[in-house]
Amino acid sequence: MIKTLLHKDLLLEIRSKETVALFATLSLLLTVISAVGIHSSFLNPEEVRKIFPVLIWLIFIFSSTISISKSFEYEIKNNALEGLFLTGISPWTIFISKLLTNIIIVLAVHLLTIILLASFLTTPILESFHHYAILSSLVVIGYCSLSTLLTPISLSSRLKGLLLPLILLPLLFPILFAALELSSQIMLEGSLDLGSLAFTLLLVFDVIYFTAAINLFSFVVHE
Amino acid sequence: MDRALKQAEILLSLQNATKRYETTPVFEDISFDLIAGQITLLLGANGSGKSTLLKALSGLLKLDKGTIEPTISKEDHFKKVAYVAHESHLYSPLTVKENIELFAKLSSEKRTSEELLDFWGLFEHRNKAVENLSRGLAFKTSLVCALLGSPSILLLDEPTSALDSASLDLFCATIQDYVQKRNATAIIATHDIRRLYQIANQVLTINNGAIDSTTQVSFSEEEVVSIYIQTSLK
Amino acid sequence: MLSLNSKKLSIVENVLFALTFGLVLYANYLVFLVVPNEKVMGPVQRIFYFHVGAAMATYFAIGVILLSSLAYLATRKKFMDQLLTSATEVAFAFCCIVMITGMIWGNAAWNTPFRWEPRLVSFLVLLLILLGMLLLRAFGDKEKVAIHSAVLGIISAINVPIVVFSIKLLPKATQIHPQVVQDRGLRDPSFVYTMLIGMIAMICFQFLLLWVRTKIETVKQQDR
Repeated sequence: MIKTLLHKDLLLEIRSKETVALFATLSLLLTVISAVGIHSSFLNPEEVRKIFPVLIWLIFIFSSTISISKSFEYEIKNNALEGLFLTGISPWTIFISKLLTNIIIVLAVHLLTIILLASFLTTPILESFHHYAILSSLVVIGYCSLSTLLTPISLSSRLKGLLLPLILLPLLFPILFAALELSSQIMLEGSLDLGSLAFTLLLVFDVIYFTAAINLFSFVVHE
Repeated sequence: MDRALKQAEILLSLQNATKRYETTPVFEDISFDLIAGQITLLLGANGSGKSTLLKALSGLLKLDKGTIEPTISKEDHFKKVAYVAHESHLYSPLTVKENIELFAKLSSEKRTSEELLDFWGLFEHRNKAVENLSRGLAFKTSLVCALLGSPSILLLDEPTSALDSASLDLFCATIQDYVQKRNATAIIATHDIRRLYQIANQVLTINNGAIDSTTQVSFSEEEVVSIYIQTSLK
Repeated sequence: MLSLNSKKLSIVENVLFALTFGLVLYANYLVFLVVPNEKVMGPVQRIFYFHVGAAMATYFAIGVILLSSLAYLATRKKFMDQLLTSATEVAFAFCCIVMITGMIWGNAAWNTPFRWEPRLVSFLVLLLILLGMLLLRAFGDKEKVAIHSAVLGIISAINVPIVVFSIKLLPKATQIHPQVVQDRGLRDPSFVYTMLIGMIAMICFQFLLLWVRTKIETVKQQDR
């Protein structure tokens, strides 16, 4: 069942290309703007390394939160989601499939953005890239669990997709703090400290948000 | 007596149902049965609550009071029900074929998509995206999708409004055939009395939140119209 | 009895009102006329008694958010949704009190109203979370806003204990927020007594506001 749904979700994205196009272009534009800004402020390489994590997570938060609700719009259009429920499929299967699709899209674009920003700022990142990949996947799991749950809420509001950042970002703070702390660690020390408090916090919030989201999703989409 | 009426196997029974929108009731304390082999017409003026009633029967809308029997889990209820609403329940960027294949897989339908496409003359449109379809074709596609997995209760909300004359005859024949062969039941919310009176065994009229039921083996057009007018004047 | 439907105040409500009024007056009396000046900070330190009380009241209101959200999802009783609406607003109000009193104190103690310190940031985040809930209430879809708010309420409220707890795990050096109670900073017994009365007064005040606000919401929905 999940395979069929995942195929449908990815096919929807391949056909419409909306989320990826919006997300990737926004990331690219923000990357260029940040690179230009950094370049014109004459920071030395050491300072650039310090500011790099802030930039990368800012770009991530901004571009992903604006584009992620797009992927759910085709579920609302024609009430297709109701059609899925009428086949007797359970809400959590739909949630998992949506979550996986979002994770794939967000993670792919985000990792590309890291490489792009690093090369624009001539910051060496390739040696520690796998650390970034691990960190990014953990952040993206928490981020997508929460945004997959909150997207239907925001789409049903009068602000449509624009309500999403307002309710999503405050809840993301713990994950973002951990992400900033850990990516500075990677930048300055070259590796990820798996025993640090920030890493534990990140894991704890991943688990909490995933568990809460999968259990609450049926309340959001069903009546 | 008609064969179906003698058996009187109740497939779905609504008991003392009430639904309110904020504080104004849409319908209040209504009860009726849907019996195997019968086709029910649901008549009522605009805004009388026909669509709300059908949506509640589908299980997508929670009743404020009352029950739908047999009481089974939501998922099992959804599997038994086919609900064709104003919205097509289709994914607009996907093609007709992809939509049908998706819903066929999810409802574990055995027939292939080619067989299904052939029946309604959708085959030549199979590679069109749903967003580019005309209303009639979109309706046919959503009807095909709803009937996948052989549901026993058909809930059809104004099905005739998008169909041309030839498709309408095919529609009536198909529904009648489906209901009799599979011992299913259908409830059709409609204004199109002129086309649908021939296939009806039961007429429900909804007015001011209350419901009246008339059951007969078959109806003439005048009978249905007079039932409708009588309840509207109450 | 406590009654939601009557527009007049009942006896119990009057007693709650009188109790809160008395306690707040008494707390003010203690804070401004009884407790001696703190040695280093001087009179500004007196704001601490309201600050701590308001923080406790915020936690209580968030507890109500969690319980009423869970109860709404389980029972779908309208009252639970009305309680959730009120608890969100009351929590937001008390969170604002905590931030403002903290900033006044910080301006005197640190020469700056806000420092990027874990405990301060955690309350700021809490304020933003509550703001998000208020925005959802304001702009949400009318038919679904109750259930959506309950979902957001649960996910917001489970955040709070973890964030508050995780701060305690951070190294002491990164924290500049005073840990008065843990560090045994309250030498004079009147400090402790005043702090307790201040807390109880604020918590009572919180419950009074919560009740009145819920009652307003109920009457509003009846008259609609």
